[in-house]
Amino acid sequence: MKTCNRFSVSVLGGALALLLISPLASAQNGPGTAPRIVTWNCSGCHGVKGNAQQRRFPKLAALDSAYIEQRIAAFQAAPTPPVDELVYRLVKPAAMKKVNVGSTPEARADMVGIAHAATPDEAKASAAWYSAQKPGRGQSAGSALIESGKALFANGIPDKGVVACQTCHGTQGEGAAAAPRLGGQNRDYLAIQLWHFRAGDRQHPTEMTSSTTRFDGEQIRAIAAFLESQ
Amino acid sequence: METAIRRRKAATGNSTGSRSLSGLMLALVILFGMVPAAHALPSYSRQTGQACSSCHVGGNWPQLTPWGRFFKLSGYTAGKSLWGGKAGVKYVPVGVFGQVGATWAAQPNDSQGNVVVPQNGSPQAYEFTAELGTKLTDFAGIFYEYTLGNTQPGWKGTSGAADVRAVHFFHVGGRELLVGIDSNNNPTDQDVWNSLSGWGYPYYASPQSLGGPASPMISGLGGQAASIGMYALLNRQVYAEFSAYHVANDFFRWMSAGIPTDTYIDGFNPYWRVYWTKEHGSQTFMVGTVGMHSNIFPNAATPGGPTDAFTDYGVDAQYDYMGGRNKASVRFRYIRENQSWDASFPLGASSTPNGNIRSLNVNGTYTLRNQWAFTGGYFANDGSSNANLYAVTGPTGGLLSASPNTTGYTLEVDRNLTQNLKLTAQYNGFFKFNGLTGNIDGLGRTPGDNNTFWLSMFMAF
Repeated sequence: MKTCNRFSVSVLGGALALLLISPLASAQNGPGTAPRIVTWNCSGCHGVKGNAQQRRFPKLAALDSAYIEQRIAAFQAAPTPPVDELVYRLVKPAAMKKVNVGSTPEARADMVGIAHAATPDEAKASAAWYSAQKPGRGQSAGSALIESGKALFANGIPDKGVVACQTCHGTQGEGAAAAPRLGGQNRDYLAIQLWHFRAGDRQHPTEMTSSTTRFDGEQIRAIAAFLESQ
Repeated sequence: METAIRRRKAATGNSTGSRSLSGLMLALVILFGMVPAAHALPSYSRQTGQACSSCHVGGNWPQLTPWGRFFKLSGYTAGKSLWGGKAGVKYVPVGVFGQVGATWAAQPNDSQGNVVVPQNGSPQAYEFTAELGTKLTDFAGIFYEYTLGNTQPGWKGTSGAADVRAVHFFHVGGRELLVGIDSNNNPTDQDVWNSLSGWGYPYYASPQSLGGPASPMISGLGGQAASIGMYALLNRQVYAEFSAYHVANDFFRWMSAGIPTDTYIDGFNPYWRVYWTKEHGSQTFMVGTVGMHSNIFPNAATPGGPTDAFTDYGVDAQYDYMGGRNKASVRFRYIRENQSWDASFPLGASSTPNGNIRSLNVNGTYTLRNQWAFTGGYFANDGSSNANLYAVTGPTGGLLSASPNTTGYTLEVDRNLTQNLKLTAQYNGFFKFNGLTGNIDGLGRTPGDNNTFWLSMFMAF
């Protein structure tokens, strides 16, 4: 058993050495290296360069940094969902209702808690990093769906009073001032957001509510497919 | 205790079978052990503020999402720090869970009325577990489970699954290299894929259901061995790991499921793992290989002298599709084990000096929203015959079979009522049992008579 003890001491020594050098190594991250919060947290879903592979997560590359910070702030303003959902439902139903207001179910599941853990500096650093990244290439779905989405994006639905999306988001979905970049964005994410705008459970400008309530499912899929292809 | 857990998993084709002298004599099942320790950890949810479904596919633990795999590989470090300075402790780093259920066998008794599956149809409380799961620093984290298992004749507490790791990201020439040190108490538990045995399907199984006698050693050391190892992940695509497993005593005693163990490994035993993975949109592919060489004393109660040697090597693969509403996974694992009975053969405990086991598992899951999961799996544990290890005799003492070959399937439906409450219905069926497709006990029992249906409820808070 002496061998085991010697080995254990060596192991402990090695582990401690790694723990000690890790903060030093972190401090030595050079130019072009993502901020710590991006490497250790955000990149797990959004990618280091902000071009999320999983289509239900948004691509953050080239989004306006102020918009990213505003989204993080919105997540931070939402109450953290309780782990003990069953207890809340039974004992504190009012608290559960409060949790379910103001953010999408996906955001509640994935982002609200993570955003709560981020410091103001980390939020700024992650926004600046992703804003500076190059957007990935768009992906194409069926061409008929894209054409349909393109027409909706460019023209809106005049007879229903839906203004053209490009009015705020730019002709290719490149974004402008208060409206985020949408071109090349993952279509599942876009479709989910449009559904939640429509349902009124995502905080947003009133224009999005009035527009999305007039979209049907096929139109939402078409707009999302068009934008992803850009 | 942990041995009972892992043997139980072997019963459904998912793992093990100890081959110590005493263990080898147990040809069938360990009854009233615990269900496998494979749980989502409420404490991690408290740490990250995320739902179970962020890390577990559809909230159906222990299947991991891409984010869940990253969370584990990066040392469980995402989310809040436990200690907030003047603010004190920021979250409760512990959780509790338990499982109850009932099992029905196709034929709980043999043709002469002897009980084969006791407590048939009777409600059982299997276990209650406390878990500690938290980030320790910004680059290290731990999970540790302590389980009260309802063994006969009463409750008994032991360590459950344990894993502690410290990691760091290095950036070299535009490439990212994640390097980690890990210690755990069950080979393959440190892995992030559900294709290997540690977190493989079936994730839970009734302790009362029956199983074949053989499966690879790599999945039979849970709670009896403990490791120290290092892993590296290059550009989040290529993973390589080397670990060494030692019997879970002395420094590693805190991870032990009880000393003396049923399977006592000699010295440090190497474990290796390599895989390649690629994300393409919402799809993830992985192919890998895994292996371990272990030297086992023939009698765990008197560890000394010659040992038996087991060399396991295998390939595995996994495909995931993670849509918003629909999710699907397909998993594959094939392990071959070469056995050298250098200690047991001279003692007469093995009828041959060498042997092998070939273990195949294929299974897939479809998950709807975060509510339903439907899983089906096929398993085949084949191996060389050994009259001393796998003998099945008839009522007159005649040898019916010396083969360990057991094949079958497991079907399962899971319903997550809330994050805290899951209902499971599982059917475990056999095509072949102990190398026999009929008359498996000399009294006319068929493999299908060993089939079991299990209803259970799992609670986590």
